[in-house]
Amino acid sequence: MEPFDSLPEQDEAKRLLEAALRDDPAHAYLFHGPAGVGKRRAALAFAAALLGEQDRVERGIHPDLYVLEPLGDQIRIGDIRVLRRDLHMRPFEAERRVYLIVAAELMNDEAADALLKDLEEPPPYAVVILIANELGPLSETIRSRCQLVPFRRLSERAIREAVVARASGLSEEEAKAVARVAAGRLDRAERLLDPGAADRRRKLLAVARSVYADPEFEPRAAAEAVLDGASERGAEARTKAEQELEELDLTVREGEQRVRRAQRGAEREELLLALDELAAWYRDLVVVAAGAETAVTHFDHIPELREDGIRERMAAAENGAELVRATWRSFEEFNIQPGLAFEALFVQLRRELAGSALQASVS
Amino acid sequence: MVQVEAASGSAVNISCSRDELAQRLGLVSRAVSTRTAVQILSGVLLRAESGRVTLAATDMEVSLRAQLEARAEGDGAVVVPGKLLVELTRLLPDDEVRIESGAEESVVRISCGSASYQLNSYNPEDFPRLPSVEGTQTFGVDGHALLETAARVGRAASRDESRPVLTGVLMRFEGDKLIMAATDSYRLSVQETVLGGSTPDLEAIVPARSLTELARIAQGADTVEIGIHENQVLFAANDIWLTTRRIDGQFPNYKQLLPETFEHELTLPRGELLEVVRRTAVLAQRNSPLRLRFAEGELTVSAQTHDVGEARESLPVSFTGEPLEIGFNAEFLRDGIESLDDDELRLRLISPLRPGLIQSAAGNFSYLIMPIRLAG
Repeated sequence: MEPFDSLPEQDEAKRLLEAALRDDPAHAYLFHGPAGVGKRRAALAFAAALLGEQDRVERGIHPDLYVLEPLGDQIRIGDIRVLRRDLHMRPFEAERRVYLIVAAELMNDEAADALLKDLEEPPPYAVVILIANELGPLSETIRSRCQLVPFRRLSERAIREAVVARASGLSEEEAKAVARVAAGRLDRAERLLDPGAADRRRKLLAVARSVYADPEFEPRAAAEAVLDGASERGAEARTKAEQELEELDLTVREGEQRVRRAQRGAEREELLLALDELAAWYRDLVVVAAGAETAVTHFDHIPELREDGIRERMAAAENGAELVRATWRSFEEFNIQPGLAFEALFVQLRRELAGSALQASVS
Repeated sequence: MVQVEAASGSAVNISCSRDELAQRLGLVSRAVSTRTAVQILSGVLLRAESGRVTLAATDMEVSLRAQLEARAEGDGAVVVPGKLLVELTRLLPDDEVRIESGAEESVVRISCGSASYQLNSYNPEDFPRLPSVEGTQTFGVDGHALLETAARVGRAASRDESRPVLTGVLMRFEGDKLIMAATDSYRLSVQETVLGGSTPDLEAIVPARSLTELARIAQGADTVEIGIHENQVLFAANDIWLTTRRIDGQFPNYKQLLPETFEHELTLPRGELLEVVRRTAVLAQRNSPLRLRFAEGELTVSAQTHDVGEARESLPVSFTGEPLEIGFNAEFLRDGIESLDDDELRLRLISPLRPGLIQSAAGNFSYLIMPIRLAG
């Protein structure tokens, strides 16, 4: 069996990696593309082929597979130092040693600088694979030292098959709806299938609509509702980190730091997801108003979109989506204080969209 | 490919005395890894094969295996959570300990006297495969000479990860000599030891930490067996095997770093100098240097820390010529002097801005130390 047979689609990535396995692999790879499209699975399959052993690699216990996964919202210099110390020690039992840096876009500047030299000239046995959902935060110096392997959104069919395989109780229609809303990303599909995450999404969409539909709309209350969703995710991550802690022998301080970072990382991720979802909702209003209903993301909310996606609201909805994206960018780049940022966003959204509601009801 | 030992998950039935288990466990558990997310590394592997029982632990850098004096029925292996097992064994009554686990079972039962425990265990097939001991070409070296050499140079190894190769110790066998060298780029320490017989010409860079562990396990051993694989180095002594991953890379050419000629060469009483340096160093805080001022017949050591105070002490030396003042990091200088055990040492200097060299009277140990530029 070919190493990448079990992975759906991603033909270009597979072609590059298969060629690398036939010839001599490069020292450093950068797998990039949206979340939830199979980068990590591909990296593990690649590592398995490089190390010549699938089972232990996929279970994450091969001694020559080193996985660096960020705890929380950053990869810090300390993590890279530990990795570098290991990188310069020869393999344990295989001929090669594979390093997987997950969410490499979260490396802070110091961490990225510390890794540079080893990306350029790692020891002969080492293969370093960076996995990133976005190329933007990675410096040109990092990118240029890696062979880029692009990953794209999966087709709706591929997602549907994965959804059916995972949740066999779904009807065909339900599976189709989930696959459509997942928009080519398995991580989104997973969240739609997870009751807690689905509930958070439902609340968020109610907030998105209340911006223009609720005469009593309160920006602060809306911001709090979003933040509550994030706190919920943070609390889940915290509990999980605390459970993991029991297996580890850390000082109290290190333990607390670990738990705090895990919580903060999950909160941040949830807030970014919420912004994604909001932007997509307002974009869908535009799409429906323009008569392109088949192109919506919120395929599972067609009746609401029909009701809300009126022509008079089109321009305002478009501006609204742009406001959300601007917040997303400043959030991603500057790590701004979420409470204030969301409140400011909802004030702006209200100003932009409430007028449109008024016009709509008048006309 | 290195030959490896793989453990498979068949039934285990071992019994031994509590003291034996505690003692051997104490030796290998130093390699139990408790700071990683890879669970299996927090375990100790117990393995019975043809009547012999071994314990093993690894943190992926250093691995330790020890033979356990025990009775075993059949061949099999089990991985027991290391920290728990150590704690538990310490508290058990002084009696026979029985360790059992069925094939494909994920629990291990431990009983001793009327105490009995059942612990969740890990799959032995998941345990990293350690380099095989039987299939390794080894050669024996004098244990005391090896440990003494390692102890001398070890502390000059770097603790800073920015140049990984410097966190290791170079170990070179050349004819009948063992040479070890370590440097953190502020000091360099080289020891040449003549061994009893000749060995194959081989060299490897090993983590400084592995030699510290070696000192512990090989204490008192007349011979240490050494095997150098392409990727790992194996040391065996006292029925314990230590394997360490080799550090890759080019070790600095220490011969080139040692200056060939010096302006001054002094013989100093080691013990007295060490006392003076230790006392004066108390006031060399926050990176302030220790000043060594050489004048006709006298060495004055002084230190001064802003807002704290100063110290000064002199001792007679056979210095002649223009006075010379040179600054050193107090800790590094003390380390160099402490690395020796002769009554006298040689101190060789060129100028205040060139490194100084401390050598043993016999010349087989060299400690090169970078000066600190003195203000004013």
